[in-house]
Amino acid sequence: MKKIPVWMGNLLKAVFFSIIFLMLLVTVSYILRPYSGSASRKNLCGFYAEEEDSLDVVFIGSSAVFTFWEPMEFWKKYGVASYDFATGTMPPQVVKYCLKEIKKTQDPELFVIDLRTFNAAETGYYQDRSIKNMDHEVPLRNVTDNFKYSLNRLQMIADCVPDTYDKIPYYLDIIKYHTEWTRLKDKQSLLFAVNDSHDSLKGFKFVDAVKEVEFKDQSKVESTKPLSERLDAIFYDLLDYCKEEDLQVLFLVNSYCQAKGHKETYNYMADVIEEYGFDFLNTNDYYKEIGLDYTTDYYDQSHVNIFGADKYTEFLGEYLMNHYTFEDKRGQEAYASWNEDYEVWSEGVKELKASIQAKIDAREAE
Amino acid sequence: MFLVTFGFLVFMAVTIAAYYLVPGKIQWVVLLLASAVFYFYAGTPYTVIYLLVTIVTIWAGSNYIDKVRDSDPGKAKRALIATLLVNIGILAALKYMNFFISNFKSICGLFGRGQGIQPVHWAASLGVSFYTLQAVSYLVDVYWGTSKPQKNLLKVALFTSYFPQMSSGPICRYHEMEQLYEPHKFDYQRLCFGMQRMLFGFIKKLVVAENLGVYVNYIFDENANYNGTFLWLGLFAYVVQLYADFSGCMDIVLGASECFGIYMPENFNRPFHSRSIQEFWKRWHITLGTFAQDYIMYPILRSKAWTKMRKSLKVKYGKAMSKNVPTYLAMMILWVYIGIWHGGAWNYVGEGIWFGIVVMLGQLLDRRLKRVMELLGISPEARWWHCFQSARTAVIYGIGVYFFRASSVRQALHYVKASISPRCLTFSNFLMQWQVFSASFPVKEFYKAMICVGIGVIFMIVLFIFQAKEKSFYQWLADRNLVIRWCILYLMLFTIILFGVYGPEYDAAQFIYGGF
Amino acid sequence: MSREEILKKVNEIFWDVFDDDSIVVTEDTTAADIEDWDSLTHITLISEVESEFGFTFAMKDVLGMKDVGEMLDIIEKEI
Repeated sequence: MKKIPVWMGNLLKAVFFSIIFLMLLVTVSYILRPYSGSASRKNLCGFYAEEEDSLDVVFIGSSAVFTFWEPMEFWKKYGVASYDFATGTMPPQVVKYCLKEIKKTQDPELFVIDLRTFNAAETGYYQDRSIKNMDHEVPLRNVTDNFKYSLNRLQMIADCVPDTYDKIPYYLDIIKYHTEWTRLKDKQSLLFAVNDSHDSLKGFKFVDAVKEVEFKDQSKVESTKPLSERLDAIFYDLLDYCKEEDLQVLFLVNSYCQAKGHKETYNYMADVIEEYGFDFLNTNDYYKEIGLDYTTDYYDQSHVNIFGADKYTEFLGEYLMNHYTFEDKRGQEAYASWNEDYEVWSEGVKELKASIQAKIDAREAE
Repeated sequence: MFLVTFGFLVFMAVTIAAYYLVPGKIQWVVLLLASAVFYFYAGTPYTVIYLLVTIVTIWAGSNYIDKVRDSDPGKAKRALIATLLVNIGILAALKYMNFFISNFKSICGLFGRGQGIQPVHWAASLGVSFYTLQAVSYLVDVYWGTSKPQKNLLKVALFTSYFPQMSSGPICRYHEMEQLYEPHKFDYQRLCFGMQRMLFGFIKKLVVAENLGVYVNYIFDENANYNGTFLWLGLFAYVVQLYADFSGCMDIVLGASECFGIYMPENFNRPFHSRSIQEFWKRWHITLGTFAQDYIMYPILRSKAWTKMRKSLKVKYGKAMSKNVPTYLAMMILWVYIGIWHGGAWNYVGEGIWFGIVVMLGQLLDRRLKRVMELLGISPEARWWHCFQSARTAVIYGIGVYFFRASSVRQALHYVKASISPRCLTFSNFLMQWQVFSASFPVKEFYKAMICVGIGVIFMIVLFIFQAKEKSFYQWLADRNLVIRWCILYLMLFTIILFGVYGPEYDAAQFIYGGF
Repeated sequence: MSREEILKKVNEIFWDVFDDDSIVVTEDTTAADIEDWDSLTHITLISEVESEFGFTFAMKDVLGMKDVGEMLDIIEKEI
């Protein structure tokens, strides 16, 4: 065998050394990413773990999605595969990039985009209330820290993170999280070493809490209130993208205690959406049909607990089946794992319901 | 500090690529351009004017001096003094103006005046304390005839502003750096060695020094009041930090230069191996010591004033005095200079004086000590004796560090007193101090940081072992098989990535010698 | 003055500077051979040689001198 020239040997060595280093770096970065309380990491890593081209419906949004829509119940009833691609307080400007990311491995019939991302964008909620949610590090990192490294992620950070921020710790999140090197021995963190990890809940988050809330019926409100200039630009950009890619999209407002101003904004958005030829649904207009009980089904003004989620999913599930065509995949061998997941799901639900019920009973006893 | 940023790594990658892509004859131009870019990112851009003045004056001065030296020594001497005054003047103004002002103010205060005098806020050019000395050495070398002057202004610019030395030295001699202008062929192994040395530097600086620094700052904080054995612990940690910080920076800098095939002089050589404080300064910040010796001490000792002093002392007081007094006087001047080089404040002068006194005593008592040792039957080569000497040297250096770290002479003396006062040396006092200390921050972070330091120190010890055996760690690494070598390199890389102090969780790192 | 005479005189200077009559210097003696010969005593040696022979070394010679032989070369040239 002919000997390779020295310079080529050195070049090969350098290249392989670098490649292996990058692979190690990526793995270590994934392990050191925080496993957040908002379930963002579980949800997105769970998405990556799904089989290619297996999903029929993908929901995109914030906790307005992952505490409301129950993919497992929808599967049980209709055999349609769905997923909650949702992170805590998802900023609206990242939705387009989420669509791109999803389309890399999935080709769903329907995308459901939650409009709460726009509605919650300009309030301040996290520690420093002067920073808008859409510009705050926590909601942004809930997304950027859970995407796999890719060109799409690069573009997302370049576009969606405010330019006044130092973006390098966003691009290379290990710069921020390297101090947490003790996570290298944490089982929980090691599970996510390749940034995908099967989620039986399909992106849903169990919350063990209940609180009585007040609901105001805004369904008669017909006035409109336009979005701010900045949000409007993002909104149109998203619609343009969906149009270009010829996607089937349902723009949705979930069932929460919306204020009048919110309803007016949604009315404005509904008009634009209809112009573009996409579907719109404000589930708050159907609160009677859904049958939500405001003393037992919520845990705060914006979120239902499992009881509320059940009712919501039942209503919305029927709506989807009536308006779109899906294949019933129950019984297909490729989807056998979904049945196993349902077992895990229902175990969890049983415990959760018992716990919440106990809380309700305790409250009633007072 | 720019040297430990991501940006510097990118800068190095681009510069190395450019360097080996251009023809050998103009490789030095790449270095000059790179140095300009480095200055822009690492220093305050407008201060480049001071650097430019230095470059132009020493180029003009050195060439003029060389021209007239043989024909008209008087002119040459005047040109030398003029050029030196300009450059030392810049250094003095930038570094010591506030020192002069505050002392002037104190003196005025004695007469009840001077309340309105304010300090100035002049930004110094990057590395002014280092490159000025380097420029002075070049100029004086030309004057003495030890070096031929460089005719090309841009080449003089490169010598003065070569980017690896701009942060913290080493202070190079012109004849050592003529290699800058030579072509260097690409050498894969040399490039690897250079990068590996930089890796070591990052470990020392980011993993050991910076982690220690976070906590050492609590102990030496102006408002803190640590004493006794706890203070010793703090001092010990601070000395380790200083060594790791400065020698780590040297590793980065010398390693970077090695990537181009340019070998700069070492600044450290196992300093804690020293048997005396005199030897210590030949092993710690070596180039400063040799500069001071060659360009301050020697000229003083050989000056007319000193020769006169020697003669008159010989006549009046005999040979011993005529030898010792001038030497020790020159020595004290040298040490005061070394002290004040570190900064314009009395505590730095104090540091210099302290070392000067110790060295002087050492010289004076040398013979007597040798006789005592003979009487006691102690062999100077004994291992334990060497350990004792090293420990003693470390303690002496430590006291000097009190002066270095303190914000005033008074505080320095306070530290010294607090270290030896008997009631501070009890165990219960130590525990009490620990309570106060550990209450200042989350203790878990402290333990984590100490683990990081420990891991970094293990690497340093490995390096020491190789140095003691006078073997090259990098050559040893190159001789291992590929798998082992790569595993060790990945270990080093991830030690820096995981345990280094950088990123949004920390404030910008402060390099101790970098403010000069 | 012949070279041997110069060497003898230089030897005497060494006795003086190092306070040791037993020292014998040759052309090849370097700083490594004599225990107390460091940078300080080097300067003292230089000064004594200068005052003994009545000339001044050039600075570059002071720093560049490698062994006693080189010193003798310079002395020979100067006197």
